[in-house]
Amino acid sequence: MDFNTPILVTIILAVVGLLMPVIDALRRERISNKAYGIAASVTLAIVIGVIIFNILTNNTSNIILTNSVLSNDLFGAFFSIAMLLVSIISTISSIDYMRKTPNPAVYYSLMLLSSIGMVLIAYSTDLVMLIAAWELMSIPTYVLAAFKKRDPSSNEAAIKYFIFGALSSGLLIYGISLVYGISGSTNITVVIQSLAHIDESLSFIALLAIVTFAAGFGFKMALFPFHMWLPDTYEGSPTTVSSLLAAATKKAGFAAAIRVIVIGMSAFSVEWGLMFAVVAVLTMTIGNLAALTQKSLTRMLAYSSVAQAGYILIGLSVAPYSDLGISSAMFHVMNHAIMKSSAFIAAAAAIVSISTVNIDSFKGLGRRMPVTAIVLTISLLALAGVPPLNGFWSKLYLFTAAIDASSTVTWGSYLALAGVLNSALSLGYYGWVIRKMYFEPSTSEKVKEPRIILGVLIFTLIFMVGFGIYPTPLIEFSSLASPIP
Amino acid sequence: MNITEFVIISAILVGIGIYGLVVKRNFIKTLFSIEIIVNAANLNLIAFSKFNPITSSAGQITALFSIAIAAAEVAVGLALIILAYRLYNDVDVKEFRRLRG
Amino acid sequence: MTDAIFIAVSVLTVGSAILALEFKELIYGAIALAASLLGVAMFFVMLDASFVAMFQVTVYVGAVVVLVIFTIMLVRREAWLQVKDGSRKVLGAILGLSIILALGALYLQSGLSTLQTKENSISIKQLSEEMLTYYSPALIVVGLTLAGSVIGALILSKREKGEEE
Repeated sequence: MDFNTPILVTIILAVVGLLMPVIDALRRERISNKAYGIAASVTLAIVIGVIIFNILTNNTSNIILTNSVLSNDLFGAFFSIAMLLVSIISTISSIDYMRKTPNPAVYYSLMLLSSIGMVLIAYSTDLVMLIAAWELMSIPTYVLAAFKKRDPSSNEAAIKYFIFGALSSGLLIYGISLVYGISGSTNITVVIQSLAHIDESLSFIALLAIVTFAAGFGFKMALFPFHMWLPDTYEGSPTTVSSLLAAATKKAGFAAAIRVIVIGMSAFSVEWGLMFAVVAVLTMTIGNLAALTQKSLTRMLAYSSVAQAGYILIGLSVAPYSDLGISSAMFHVMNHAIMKSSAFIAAAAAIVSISTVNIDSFKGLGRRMPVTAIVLTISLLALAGVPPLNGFWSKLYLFTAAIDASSTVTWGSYLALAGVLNSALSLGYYGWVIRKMYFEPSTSEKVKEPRIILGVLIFTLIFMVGFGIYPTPLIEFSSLASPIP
Repeated sequence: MNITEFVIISAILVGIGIYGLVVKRNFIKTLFSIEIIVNAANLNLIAFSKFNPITSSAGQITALFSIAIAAAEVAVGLALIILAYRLYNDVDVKEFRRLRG
Repeated sequence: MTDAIFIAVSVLTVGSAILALEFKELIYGAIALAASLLGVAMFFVMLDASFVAMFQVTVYVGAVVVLVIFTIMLVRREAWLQVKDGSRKVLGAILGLSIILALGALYLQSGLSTLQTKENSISIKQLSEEMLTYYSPALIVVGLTLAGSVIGALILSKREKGEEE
């Protein structure tokens, strides 16, 4: 076991994460919620620093195949940074949002434990490691979703999330058993080697394994038809937790899907590209159509995140046919992580200040909560893909990849067309929220906005506008980190 | 003995588990269904570890991990049940909204 | 002889899995689930994986099912426990059956039956060596998962101050 970045990150997060509840239990006098929140945020910042330092000092290879359970590669670093940014955004915002909730030590400890899981999913090159990290990510979030213990809707959210999460891990183990059966190993490198010269009669089993993996990861990525749990869960959970779920755990699903299906099964030539493309179109369309009719902002964002998963899936489905496929999907993963968490944190600010996320009560929010409203507007426009925001560039890349693939497969251009039409459709409901905030008058007074959340929102605003105007670093990073250059 | 017999038993268990997930409204029964599916996967793993061209202990180790993980999952699931029970103690269960699409 | 044992264990496993879901009283359901899990453990023994079988019995039957039974007794309340089945019984049965048929057909016509049994079975020594070398990071992660689930379950089921009985 060599001492590399993933291990170091695990140790740092685990030590702080496990110490917090212990200290809380041992000390007589209560430590304020704020102290725990700051400790957790600082830890996450240190971890992000470690990963970035590791990339800059070139200790990171972009070779993604190893004979160990973890690989210290750029792909893992990319996803880790995306997911840890969301973790830190959610954690800092929780200082305001959860300031009156009991058991802060456990709340932040579970946030850190779940972050370990996400990071290790991104780095893992072994299916057993993957499922262990998958559970480490999921189990704390079941508890976090139920953290508003007196609120029945939070409990219901957690129960639905738990059922689908547990089913997805059951399916994943079933998939692992099939892959193990035909290849004799759980290491993805060995699996690729044995799948390359697999007996013809076993090929159906490999196909079944791909389907089970797609379903298992699909529950976390909330792809159609596995998205049913998502709106209730995102609506009922504490909004900072929803931000973590929508923007980070979902990305872990994509990291795992790229590792296992796109890389692992690449040797195995089955037309899974078309299967993914059909799911992508259905996911986008159903997410956007359902979002049109929502009255609550968090519920609308939940459906919009279903639709966004569809866009990312475009990149995965054209991966075998276009070099741009994976890198554009990863570019959108990074952007979506920030855009979506920014929108959810803005909703959290609205809950703290005016204790509602009903879109009808957002009338005149542009005057009542000016900063929150402007960041919410920018993040919604970025989600819709309006230039010159960061969401525009990644969508452009995704659709370019789809058109690029159409030279090999005919459905590529239709996929791009479906994406463009869906983006136009999504402007409908995003525009409705923006209209409510700015163009409908309200007699209510200006309210105080939560200060720490404002800081987070301004950071995300700088990210979205900054990488919108100058997207080159992100584009380069995602193409460097993508496993198929 | 042949591996096909074991994987078919495992397939039957998966089918029963899916049936339970679709039909049963009770959270505890849903938990049972999930456990049945996980067990089917474990049975598959052990069967493949016995009938495998390469001698490898990976299958048994995966099964051990999967059992440990399932225990962790069940602990959280049961805590959620106790919490739900406390919340709905005075409230009729019918208020528990159904899964909305 | 082995065939007779196999059939008996299969009937036990599958039958009690169905009973676990179909018993009206949840306690009996939990006991049926335990029987089904024991059946799976017997399969493990047949497949030369006695250590996993032992683990299955101690963790699943010994810990998980007992925990489930305790929870059921704790939340024992007629109205709460007897939620009616949805109207989707037929749909569920069709879905379950079609999954069984599809998987079964796939396994039967694939080349699985050509896979041969190995002569030597895997010893506990081999298992533990692999677990402590190659799989050691995964072992740590499972430990963290258990820690997280214990912390989480404790906090969820703990009563807060000011919360009345």
